[in-house]
Amino acid sequence: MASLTPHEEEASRTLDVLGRLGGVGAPEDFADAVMRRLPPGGIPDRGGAARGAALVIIALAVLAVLNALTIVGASSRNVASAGDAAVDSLAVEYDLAPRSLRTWE
Amino acid sequence: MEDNGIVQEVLAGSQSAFRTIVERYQDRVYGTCLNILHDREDAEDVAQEVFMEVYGSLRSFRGEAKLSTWIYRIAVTKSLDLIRRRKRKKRFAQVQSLFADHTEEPAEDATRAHPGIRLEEKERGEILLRHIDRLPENQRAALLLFSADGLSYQEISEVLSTTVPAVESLIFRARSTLKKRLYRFYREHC
Repeated sequence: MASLTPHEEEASRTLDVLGRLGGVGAPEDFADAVMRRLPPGGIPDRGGAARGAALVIIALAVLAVLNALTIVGASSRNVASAGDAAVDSLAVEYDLAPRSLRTWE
Repeated sequence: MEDNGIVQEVLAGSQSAFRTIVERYQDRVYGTCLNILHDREDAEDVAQEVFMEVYGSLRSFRGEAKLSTWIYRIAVTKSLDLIRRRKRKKRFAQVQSLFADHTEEPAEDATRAHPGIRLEEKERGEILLRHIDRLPENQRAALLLFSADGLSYQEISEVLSTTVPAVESLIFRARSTLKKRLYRFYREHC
């Protein structure tokens, strides 16, 4: 077997340190420190929180849709009443019955 | 008591059962974090974070993997996350220093205070850790889990969510890269 050069031997001895990195234990009071940090109310129910958030989002989306429909309805009513007003003013101007103008298309 | 039984007790609200989990895994988790981070304080902080995550996510643990595998996975992920955050911060500081009027002393790297390294091997250990840090993340994790933590190829494959042949390949490449780089280092510095 070919012998190692001094540099190869150094590299090999340094690599051997890798096997001695293990076996280091946690500090003595580690478990106490972890237990002190636990939330007082027990395990948080992340699933419940996610479900709650989803419900809020759905409710907001429904409200937004209803709001949009209300706006559309209101504006169509506005358009209709503006049309009526125009017909009335034309009827006055040309001395016609508003009904005849409305049916005349 | 088996891990699954303890998990059920924790889910039922027993904090003392969770203490059992902490005591059962604290050395392994701390050791894994220390091997990746090389700094006692960082390792302790991250190991605590690991158990906080375990506690907070225990409901989502379905028992498909072993509890130990799941905990190791969190430990490796959190340790590598800290290194990534540090690197980003360092790069940002370097960019900032290009535009700064004054020149500040560059921050020292984290003290190489790995307690597993004996005093007479301190220098050799520092050289080794410096070279391990330059390996790609998955090679580094696989090598340390195998050589320092003593996990089997099968266990590492579960922790890293990969296959056993992939783990073998990662460890082989990590060792051969380290060997080459260490050889080059000693040739240039001795």
